[in-house]
Amino acid sequence: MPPPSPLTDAELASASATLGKLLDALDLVLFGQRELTELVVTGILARGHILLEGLPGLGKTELVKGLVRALALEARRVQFTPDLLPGDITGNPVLQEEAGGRRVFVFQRGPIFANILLADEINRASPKTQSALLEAMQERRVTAGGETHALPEPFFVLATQNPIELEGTYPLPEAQLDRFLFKLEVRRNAPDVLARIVLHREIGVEPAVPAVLAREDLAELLGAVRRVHMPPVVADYIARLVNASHPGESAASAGVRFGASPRAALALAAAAKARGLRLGRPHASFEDVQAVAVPVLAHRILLDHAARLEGVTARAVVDRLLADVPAQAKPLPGSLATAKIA
Amino acid sequence: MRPPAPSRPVAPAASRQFWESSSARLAARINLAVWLEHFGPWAFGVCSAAAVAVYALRRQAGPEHWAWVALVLAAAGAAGLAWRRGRARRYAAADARVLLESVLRLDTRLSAAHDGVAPWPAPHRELPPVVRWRSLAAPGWMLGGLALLALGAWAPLAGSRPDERPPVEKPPALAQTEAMLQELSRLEVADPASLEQLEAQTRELAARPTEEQYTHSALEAADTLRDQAMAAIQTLARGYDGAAAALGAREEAAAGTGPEGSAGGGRLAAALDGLRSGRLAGHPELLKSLAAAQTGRSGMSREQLQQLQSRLNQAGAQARGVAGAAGAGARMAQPGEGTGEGEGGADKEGKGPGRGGVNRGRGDAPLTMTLDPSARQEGRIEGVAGDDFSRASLGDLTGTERGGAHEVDPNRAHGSGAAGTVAGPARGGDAVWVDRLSPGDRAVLREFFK
Repeated sequence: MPPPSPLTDAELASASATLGKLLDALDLVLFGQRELTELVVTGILARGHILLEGLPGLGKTELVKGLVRALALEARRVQFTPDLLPGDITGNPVLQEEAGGRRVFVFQRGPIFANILLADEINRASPKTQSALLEAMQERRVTAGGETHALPEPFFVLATQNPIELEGTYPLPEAQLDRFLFKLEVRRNAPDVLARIVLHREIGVEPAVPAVLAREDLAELLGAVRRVHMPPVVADYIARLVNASHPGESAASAGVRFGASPRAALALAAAAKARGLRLGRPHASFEDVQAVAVPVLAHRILLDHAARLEGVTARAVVDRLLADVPAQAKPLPGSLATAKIA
Repeated sequence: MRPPAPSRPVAPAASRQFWESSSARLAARINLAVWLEHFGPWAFGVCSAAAVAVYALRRQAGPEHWAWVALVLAAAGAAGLAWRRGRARRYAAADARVLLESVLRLDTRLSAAHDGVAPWPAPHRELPPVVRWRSLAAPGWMLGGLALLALGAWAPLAGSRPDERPPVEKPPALAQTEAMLQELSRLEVADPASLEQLEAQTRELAARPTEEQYTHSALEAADTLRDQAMAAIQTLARGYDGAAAALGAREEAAAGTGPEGSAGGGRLAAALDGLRSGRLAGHPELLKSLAAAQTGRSGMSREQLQQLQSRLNQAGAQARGVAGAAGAGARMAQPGEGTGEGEGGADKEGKGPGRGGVNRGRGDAPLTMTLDPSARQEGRIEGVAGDDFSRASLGDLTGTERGGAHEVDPNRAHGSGAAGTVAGPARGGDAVWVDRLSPGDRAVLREFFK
């Protein structure tokens, strides 16, 4: 496959401007969460699924709804409950009578057949229902009744979950967590941001968000992300970072039971390229990788019991990895240290 | 510290050259650190060994330049080995470029530019140091090695050169022998040829290594040589005395005043033979004159014969004097060999005390102190007033002396007493020490238990 042609300055400027508009639109929905919205946009550009975790009322669902409106894509929302069945998500074969009186099973598409599926409180559904999403999230298709149905392009799953109400929930299995590009923590707002929310929001009234991107514009942006250059040194850095997350591979991986998968390396690369495009660069950088490392890797690293008892978090492990793994492949000699340049 | 602001836009080629040269310089600096980390301990080892070698060669006055040549070769070898050992850790310019862009937060623009997908960033006016020295261990090793080397090269060698060592004194017996032979040679009382034999033996002993001069065998050999030399000198002196006496007797006989006749000539011939055949022969001139006088054909006048006799007496006295002067402290020279009274001397018998020396003849020093020597050993004892015992030291011998034997009755009865009574206060071993032992016995016991 020939390498994609590098992005021109005009293309970069256009993409950067468009994405700026999208972020501005999301700012209308969610005040004071620019970092979160940037990561969400980065995840969308990387064609990844995003899991938003946070306490109730922090605006997770509002963010997703605002994104749907800004992108002008077809979106469905499913409130996950314990009695939800896989067919309620993917669709069911329905017996229909044809014109000749012949009865046939016709596949009735479920809500997953949309560009964006908002899976609200995804951890409340049974594992059986959760697993129904596996094929759709990874291969972007659904198999039912022996038939395979492709999902529309683009396809994103934006899921939310509540970290504190664990009764009657089913924590997502590792395999399904691995399919989410990002797991983003939605944090509470600062007082000044809260004041803005009080001033400009009303309960029951949704903010008006303009449609910033047409479907074609989004497809163009997604194509531009693929053309972002991945320097070999950055790819090497990603590989060393992921490898160091495994037990015994580095001092930073102490307490890790299972490290990040190759899918995590691909996710890092895609997210880094998406961030590079968002920042108007034709290439990914070490800084891009470092910026997306926590949301990409933290939910893919499984800690052992001892580490969890000691209060070690996966986020702390990723921070240690970023501190320990240098950008350059060769470590500095012990008598030298890098200078501090703020 | 903020990263320095890029300067005004410049040509892409200039930017590329700036960043590539910066990368190359950074790689060189890192590679220097890698090399130093390997070379430092080796340099210390090489310099330490060289310092020891240089110092040892300086002490032995050996060829130092070989140590320096070996040092240079070893240092060059260590440098090459260090360069080889650090090969895997060395930075290429590409590695340094990555380090440069990550530390300066250039968003991987250098690598992207190198890949041809982005322009080279504008060069910085002043590039901050990307790496800094964290540990000075590596140069510390080298400085430590150089310090040792400097110490080995310039440390003073006080008393270390053989020619600067304090001279080792010859064994006293050897020195005495040499002195005796030199004195005999100077006085011209012995045949130089016979002296040469003893001098050769002396030189042979003196030529032994210094550390062997004081071995038991060497000391014994020196003592033996000295004794032989002194015996030969004594014999020579007696020969001169005998010759002088025989010459005098013959002259007296010739003048009709002496009792000897032809027997005097026989004694003179015997004395002459003795002087010729001894280990130390007499001086040739004296022997020649003596031989002429002995044959009677020399036509020597009476005065000349008297002069010859006087010369022989003088030679004998000189020989004895040589032996006596050199014999202070030596066995042969100890006066008091005899056992009787009299002046004492090396060859005189007597019952009186000698005049000192470690192997003097018997003669106890009297405890009495009198002004009249004739009153000694006669029971007239004068007390020595000495109330000041502060100057006495432990083990000083004190006692009394009397003419007769001590009257000690160890079985003296203390009178009758009832069974179980104690006749006197028990004094244990102190009673034996005070009542039974003489000062001599006590001295023996002290010496034994010392």
